[in-house]
Amino acid sequence: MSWLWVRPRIRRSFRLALFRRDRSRAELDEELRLHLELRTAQLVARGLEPDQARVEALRRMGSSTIEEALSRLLPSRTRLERRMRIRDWLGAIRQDAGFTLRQLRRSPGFTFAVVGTLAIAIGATATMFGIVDRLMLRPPAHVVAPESIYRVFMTVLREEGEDRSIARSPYAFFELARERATGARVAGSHLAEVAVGRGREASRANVTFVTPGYFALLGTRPHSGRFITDEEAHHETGARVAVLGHGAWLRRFGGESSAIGRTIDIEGLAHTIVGVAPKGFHGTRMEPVELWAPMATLHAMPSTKNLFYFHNAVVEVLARPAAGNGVAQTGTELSVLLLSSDENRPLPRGRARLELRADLVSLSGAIGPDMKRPQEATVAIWLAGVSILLLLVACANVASLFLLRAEQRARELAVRLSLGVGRGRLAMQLFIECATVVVLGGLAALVVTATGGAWLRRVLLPDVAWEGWAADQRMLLLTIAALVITAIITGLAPAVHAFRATPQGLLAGSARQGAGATRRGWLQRPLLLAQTALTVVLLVGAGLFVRSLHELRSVDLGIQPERVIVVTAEFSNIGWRSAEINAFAQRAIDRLRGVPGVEAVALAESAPLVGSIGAGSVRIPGRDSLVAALGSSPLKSTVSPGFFDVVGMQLVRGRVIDERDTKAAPLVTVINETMAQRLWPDGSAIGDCFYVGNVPQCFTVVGIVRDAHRFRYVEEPRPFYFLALAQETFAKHPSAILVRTDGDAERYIGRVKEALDGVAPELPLLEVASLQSRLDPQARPWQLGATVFTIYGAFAGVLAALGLYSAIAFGVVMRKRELGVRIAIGARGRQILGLILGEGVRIGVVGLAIGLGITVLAADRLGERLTELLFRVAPTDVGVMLGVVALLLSAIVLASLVPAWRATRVDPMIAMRAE
Amino acid sequence: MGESMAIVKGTLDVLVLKALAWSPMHGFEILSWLEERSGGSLDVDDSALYQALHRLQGRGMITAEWGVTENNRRARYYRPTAAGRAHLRAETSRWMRYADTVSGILSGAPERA
Repeated sequence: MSWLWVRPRIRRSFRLALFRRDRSRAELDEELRLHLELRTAQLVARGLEPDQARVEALRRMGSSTIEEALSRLLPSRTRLERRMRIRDWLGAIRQDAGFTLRQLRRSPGFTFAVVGTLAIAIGATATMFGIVDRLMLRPPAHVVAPESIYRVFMTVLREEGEDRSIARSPYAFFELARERATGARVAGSHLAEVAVGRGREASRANVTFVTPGYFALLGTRPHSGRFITDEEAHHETGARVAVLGHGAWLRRFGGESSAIGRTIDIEGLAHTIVGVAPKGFHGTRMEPVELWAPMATLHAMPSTKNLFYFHNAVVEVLARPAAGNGVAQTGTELSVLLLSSDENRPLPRGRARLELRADLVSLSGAIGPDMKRPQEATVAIWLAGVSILLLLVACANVASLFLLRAEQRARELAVRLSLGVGRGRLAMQLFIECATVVVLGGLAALVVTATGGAWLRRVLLPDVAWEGWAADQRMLLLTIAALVITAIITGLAPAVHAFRATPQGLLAGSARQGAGATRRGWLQRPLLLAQTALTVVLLVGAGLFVRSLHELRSVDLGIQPERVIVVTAEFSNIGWRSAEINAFAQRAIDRLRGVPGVEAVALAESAPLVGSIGAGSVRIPGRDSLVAALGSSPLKSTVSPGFFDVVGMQLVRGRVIDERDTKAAPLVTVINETMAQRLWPDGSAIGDCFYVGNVPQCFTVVGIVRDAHRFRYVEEPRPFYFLALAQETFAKHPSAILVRTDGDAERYIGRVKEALDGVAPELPLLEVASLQSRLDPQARPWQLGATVFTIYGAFAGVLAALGLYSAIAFGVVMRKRELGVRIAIGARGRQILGLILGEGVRIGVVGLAIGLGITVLAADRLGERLTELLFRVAPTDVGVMLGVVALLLSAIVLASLVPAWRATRVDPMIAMRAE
Repeated sequence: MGESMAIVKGTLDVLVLKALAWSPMHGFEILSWLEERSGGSLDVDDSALYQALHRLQGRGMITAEWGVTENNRRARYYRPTAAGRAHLRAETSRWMRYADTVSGILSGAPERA
């Protein structure tokens, strides 16, 4: 029976009772034999014949043979043993748990360190995976069979190469596809931020305008009431109905069922509420949706009606291919329909017909309007990967803390071993101790996930609809798995460690000094190196993102958005014409001028970061090649006097538009530097003039201003010219009021709102925001990276410093005798200090070097991808690297200095006597 | 020697605990002690005793360990645990009260009409 052969020591430690049954049988057998013998002897003494006595003794056992007696009693005996084993085991656990809690209470620092480490590491991992899950993996909620629904992107194939994909398609294509597509069902939606509600309650919110068939295609069922019918959704014949998002229902109507049947305003148009969407349903996009309304509403509003002209991309089309119909096949059919829907479109002059293609993209996973993955998602994936590393290091750190403790308690363990406590029992106890702490850590991690995760989501990813708690069941499972693994690692390491030593060796104090210290090395040193290296990587990452953010913030936009408040409203939907709008603007200006902190107010038809900026082709008599010279058609805006000062656009030459430029005065224009350079490279722009559209007069260039960014932090400069609002050539009224404040614009928003309160009660919503807030979303990927990397880096740094500190401090305790001897034979404090400090710094510097090596290697290997993540910062930025090295070096020195100083205070007498 | 009585169900455990209260004993010693104390009027089946011992052990009332008899034979000796002693005290007083009540009823003259 060779398979039974197990090394006796191992068998003992696992209590492999191969012969347990045989043993109890043998014991019972022995007991019974003695009994029968004694009984027989007693009966013989009372006068029976030996044979008779034997039969009588067995009879009293209720049997005729000893085997029979044995088998009668064996079941109760085995039952007993089983019960006793369970009772022993439970008792042991109860005892160990009590012991553990007492132990933990006795060392709160240790408990706090372990629980805190686990909480942050697990919490961070759970949070980041929750974000990745939401952004990348999870299909939209409440959608039936989401895997068989696809987003249809319209890709414009260009001759010059570089195709352009957009998320929206023309409405004509949707109609054609809905009517003719045989291989798939289609439906669509248009998400827009519009004014919802009335009066003071009004706010801008996301409204999804749906085509017929939208809810049917998704298969969603309403929470209450009903969804929008196909007739109601139809863009021309539809009805004014709306479905409340679950959140809006709770917020605006207190979750009352009477909400259905009441009305809600969308851009001032009353809509009857017919239903409430289920909790967590936000359609197929990431953004939270306040309301669902029919395409009819979008079509009815003057401000959006032109979206339906056939070449405007308005509908995000969804397709559910029929069963058995492949994605490629559906794509081909939809491409054909897309092309034929475009046939009647009037072509821009001089352009060949565009080639179009419909691309089908899976529903789950974040995808930007350009068919690329949004940068937030990319950053989140990186962060999730990093958090796994962090978790590993944290687990290792916890294991090492336990190891350290086991080492400190080596004597105690040895005493208990030699007193006869079973090794299995001891291992069990160590394991329970770890498990207790790990469970505490897990509970704390849930708190971290719930609070920290929620904060991260709210602040850094505010445009994503987060449902409920920061962690779902899958996250919980992941957390539990991480905990179990940690418990096993942390529990087994000290146990294995404890059993390597013999009680005798541990009891003899000398073992602690020599063998103990070196044995520790096998886990401690690589762990310290890994921690330091990871800290370097994380801190470099944090530094790169922080620098990216800084670079981004210091981009010269040509304007000062942080000091400008912009007031906008949608006038067209309430039927206002220029006269009413101008009167309103004048009233608003009068009120705003009196607000303390407001330096100047101006009006504009459009402005950088405000609204859409129109293109307007220009002519100069005698010059034919203007388009070629300009490179792209120039952009125009119409502004009031003071506009340039308000937005902070600097004048380069000439003058800006001012009060002189009235309707009666000659037409003037101010152009930007790019336009001046491209059309008048010799610098003769001022005084020259050009024609715009069909205005008969020529616009004289009176000034040149610096280039300004229009929409984004990163963009190519384009030619731009400004006309005077008062001259009423194109725009006859403004669409935005711009307010310059004497400080951070955000602080004045409340005052401006107050001042404008009731200035135009007819308007559904007057939006007041800082110009900067229109830029902020663009900075979010870097903000996410900078914030999370900094938190991770700081955490890893603290872990590494603590790890180093405890290792050095432990080393000092272990070497107390040696140090005592050194001091006794005349070593100076400085020498001792140098000795210990050198040890810490050596480990630290090697870790630092490894970390820098990994960073440089990663920068080299992943150069392209890393550069994409950063903003005008090289992945191997020397400043960042030097900063990290300086920071970590000081942390390393500090972590080693404290125990080193303590080492100099070793009293030789006490140290020697300790033996 | 009187007629031997079958033992009342559930009392064997208490009797065993009582026997062990004097000193640790092995199985045959317990039986002998009971026979001696009852003057042979209690009829305890030998196998029932061993089952009772297993039961008591399972409930944590007694523990067992190997020892040596006067004649140098290896034997399994049983001793009561603290729980076993407490159980014996509780059961004894309960049994006494029960016996008093029952015998009071059975022997007393009817007093109430």
